[in-house]
Amino acid sequence: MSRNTDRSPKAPMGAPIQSARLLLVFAVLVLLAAATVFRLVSIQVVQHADYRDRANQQYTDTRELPPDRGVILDRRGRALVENLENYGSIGVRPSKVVDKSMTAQRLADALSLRTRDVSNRLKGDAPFVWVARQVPPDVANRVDGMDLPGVEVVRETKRSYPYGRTAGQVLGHVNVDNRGAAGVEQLREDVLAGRPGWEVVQMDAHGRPRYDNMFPREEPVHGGRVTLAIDIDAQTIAEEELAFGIEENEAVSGMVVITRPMTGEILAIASWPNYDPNDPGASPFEAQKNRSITDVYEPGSTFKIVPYSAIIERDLIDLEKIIDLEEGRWRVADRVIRDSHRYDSLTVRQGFAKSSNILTGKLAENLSKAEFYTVMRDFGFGQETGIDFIGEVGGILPETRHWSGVSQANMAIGQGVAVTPLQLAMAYGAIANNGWLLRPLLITSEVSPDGEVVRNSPVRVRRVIQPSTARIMRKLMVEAVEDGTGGQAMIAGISVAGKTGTAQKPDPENRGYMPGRYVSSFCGFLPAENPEWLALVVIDDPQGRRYYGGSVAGPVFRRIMERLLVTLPYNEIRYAREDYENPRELPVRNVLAPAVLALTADEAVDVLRHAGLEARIEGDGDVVIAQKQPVGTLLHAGDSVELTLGCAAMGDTLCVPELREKSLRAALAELTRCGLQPQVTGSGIVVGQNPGPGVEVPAGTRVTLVAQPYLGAVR
Amino acid sequence: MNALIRQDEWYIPILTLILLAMGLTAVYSASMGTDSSLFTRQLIYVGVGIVLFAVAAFLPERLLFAFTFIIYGVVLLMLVVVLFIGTGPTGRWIGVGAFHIQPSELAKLGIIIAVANLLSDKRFDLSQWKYVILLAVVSGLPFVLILLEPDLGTSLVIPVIVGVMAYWAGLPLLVLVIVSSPLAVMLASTNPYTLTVIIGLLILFAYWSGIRISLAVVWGIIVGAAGSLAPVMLNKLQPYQRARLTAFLDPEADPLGAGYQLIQSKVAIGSGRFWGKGLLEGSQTQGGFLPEQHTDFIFSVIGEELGFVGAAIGVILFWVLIVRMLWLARRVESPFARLILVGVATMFAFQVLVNIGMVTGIMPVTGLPLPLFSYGGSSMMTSMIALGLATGLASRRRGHG
Repeated sequence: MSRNTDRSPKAPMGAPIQSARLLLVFAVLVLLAAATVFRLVSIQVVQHADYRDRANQQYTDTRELPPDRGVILDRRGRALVENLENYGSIGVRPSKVVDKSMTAQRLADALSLRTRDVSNRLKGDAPFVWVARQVPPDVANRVDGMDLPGVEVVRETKRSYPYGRTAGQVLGHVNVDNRGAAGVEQLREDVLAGRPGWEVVQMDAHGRPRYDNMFPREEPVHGGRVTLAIDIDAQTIAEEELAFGIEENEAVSGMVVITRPMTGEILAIASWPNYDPNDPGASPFEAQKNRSITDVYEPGSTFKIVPYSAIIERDLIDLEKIIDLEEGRWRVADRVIRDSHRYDSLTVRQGFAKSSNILTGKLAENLSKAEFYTVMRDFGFGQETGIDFIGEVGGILPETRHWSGVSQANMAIGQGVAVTPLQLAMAYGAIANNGWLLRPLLITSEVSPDGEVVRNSPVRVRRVIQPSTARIMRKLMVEAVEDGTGGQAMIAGISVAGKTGTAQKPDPENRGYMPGRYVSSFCGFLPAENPEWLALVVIDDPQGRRYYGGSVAGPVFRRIMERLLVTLPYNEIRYAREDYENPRELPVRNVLAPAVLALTADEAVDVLRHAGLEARIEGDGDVVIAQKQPVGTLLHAGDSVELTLGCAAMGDTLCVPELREKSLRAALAELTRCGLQPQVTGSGIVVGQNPGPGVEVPAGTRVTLVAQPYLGAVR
Repeated sequence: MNALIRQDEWYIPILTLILLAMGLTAVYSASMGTDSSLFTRQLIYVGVGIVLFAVAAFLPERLLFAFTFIIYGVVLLMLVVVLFIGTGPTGRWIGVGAFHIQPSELAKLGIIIAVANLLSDKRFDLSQWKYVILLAVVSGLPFVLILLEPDLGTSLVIPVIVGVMAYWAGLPLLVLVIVSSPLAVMLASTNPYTLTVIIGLLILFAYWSGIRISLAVVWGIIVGAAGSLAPVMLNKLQPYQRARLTAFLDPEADPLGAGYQLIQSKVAIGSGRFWGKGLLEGSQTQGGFLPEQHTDFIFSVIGEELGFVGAAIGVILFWVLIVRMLWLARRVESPFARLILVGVATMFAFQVLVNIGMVTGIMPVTGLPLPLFSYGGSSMMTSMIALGLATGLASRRRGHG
């Protein structure tokens, strides 16, 4: 060992290393290594779960994935609401803000707020404050780009109403948290809201998210779909004409209800003043109310349909009977009922057209109190219509025990009762549809977030009058328009049935009525014998020259209907307001297409010519098998109806006609007429048939029809 | 010069390269979570380290022996200089141009060489107290200088290295125990359980070794004085050091403050489980939850992303390396070379033990880097020079002539 002296200047250690020392050192080392590995086992295997949980807790964050709020569609599938993406709400965590005055200054600049207001918000102890909610994308992007510490931009969608004020009172609006706060938005919150999903986001130590596909994620369930009976075109027309009528008559407010009396569907329901759901704060709360549903008024003469219907239903008095009208002043109990136009006498029939108060009062005297009360109740007054909406009121219909001597006569002319416009429209609907009081239908179908479909069919509340009574009432109402107080509601080419109303406004403080203050109204429908549309126009407190319902509300009704006639049946012409700025000719005569199916070509041409229409014929055959413009389509005089000829009965075979898009009733009638045997699935409008049109089949063949309720377009 | 039969040592370089690869992987992963330029720089340090390894491996033993005290002197000088012109956040670096060196790292090497030189002298009889005291002075000087920086972690390596080298060289266990006991008691004084165990062991040891009563009494007084001085010393500790000690004793007391690193480190390793989360998949590492993870806490990256398997392989490779060096020390003929091998092995053993103990929460946070793994040039240079010396000295273990 010591031989290496030349290499190692000093002598090496003398004694050889004792093996005990080595052993000790090795033993200690192995022990320590074992301890280290044991510690790793203890942390990584034994206590793994604890540490894993702690790790998950601190690096993951569960984030909500907001659902898209559901859509509201009109009857033709047009979206009445939109969700605008990328709006942002600006929030601040004051404790993380580095330079408060600079932050406040820059935020105020970007958001067009006052610096002082913003800095006040940053002062508090709150861990988080909103500085601005739902700012437009460009502003949100600008704030995001500033990268200010402590400032957070939370991206969200903003509910928008593309039609603005139109139908605003129906749709309602949402609050800043995207929850329905009024109207259908509030009413169908459950359908529209959807359910938020969530995702687990991995966060780093600075709170920045890192995404990983491996993490659990629950997709949000988006909101469902609500389809309204409303036609946004009809609603636009109603609101425009109402506003114009109010302006024209220097009135305060007004209401319009448009329905399809056969189904009770509400095509438009408007009240003015209205509001813009895009900015609900800008209008008073009163303007948000759908006053056709929530407010009552004394109907006046429009109410006369009730005593007249009751008398005709019971056949109590001959319509041609002449009634003495007391020289315009009829004393009942301690009160006097007057006519606005003095007549010595009128027949019962004339009394309706001329809207005689005295005559109507006298008619009502022929009914017992209970009878009259029951009829009024049956027409739906004094109770809610049951419309699926918020805030409906049932009106005021005093019970018989509260009646005084004059009550019956008074109520017969629409005084001492209070109704909602909607109630009155539904009552008129009963006359239009041959006697049924229907429940108003505003929401025709709903699709829940989970895809369940609910279709709301028309609901009959009760039969109010017999069809024969309704027919007579419609005749009286046509006379009221054509030869009575409602002359200004006349529309060339179409028979209009209706009734005017000029009610004095009750004095809210004293008994009695306020002189010179009226509610002028007109309610009518057309075509009189097969009504398609019904409209009630109520103009509250006209201050212009005119105040009679016929001259105030009648023209509004006429203009609405004229525009509906050229607009609604899938005609995209939209009359601009300017058309009414200047006097103009009445629109060309409107004609409804007659039925020419199954007629021979010559017969069809004949029928069409009588209606003022031309025929355009295609195909070979001796019988009309298809008519492109179905029965009831609104056409202008001189328009063509496109017909397809086909083979009718040829020996034992005949051609299956085109039945799709016809009402089930019409389809059944046609099949029976052809000698085919119908088999039906569903009800409403035919959407499918088998065999298809034009197929030659033996007589008596079974034709399967698939029908669906007509609910407007559901996309 | 006698002819040498060279028998090249391959275990150390191969193990070194494997550990370097693991370390680089860990730094790469940690740098992804924070600053990716760290990896590039570490790559440069490793490159420089490999060159230094080779230089050290081919350095003749005689030359090293001859330059021992020049090296020692330079190291001392640097330690003095750093006290006055130290740079960096803790004032432990000396800047030489673009290079910044941490003298306390290099000091460990200097001490190992110097002590090996002393102890390899036949006349240096450790049964005589004067030699023991001489040894204590040679090793104590840099120890105190490093302690003054202050760098408690690195300074503690020195007595351990010197103690093991001296024990290997024949220092009676009794003397070792007597000399080291005051320090052990001082360090353990913060934890009553550890203190009780250590005092109990010391009493047992005193009884078993049958030392004279008078010596035992003097010893007891010294140990007692050291123990009672400890709280005073604790108050003199830098606030961050005190916080580290408190955090070690009860990390949950201040989970977002001083205990934060310890908790985060355990959470990272613990959540890695058996097979780990996969490279670059560690949520704690990639999320940057552990501040300065690329330096002292680098092992937690291995623990989280490579799991128990990766961590255990790392520990075992280190221990194979250490045992290999000790095994070579048994065979090598030159006492100087032998002692350097023991010193380097001890340095590695202590640092690995303390660092992994710290990362897994069984040792206080002392700021000792993990050799070959932790980011940093000085530590890398020191480790690579040490391993290069070990390789070179072991390769010439059979001389004859």
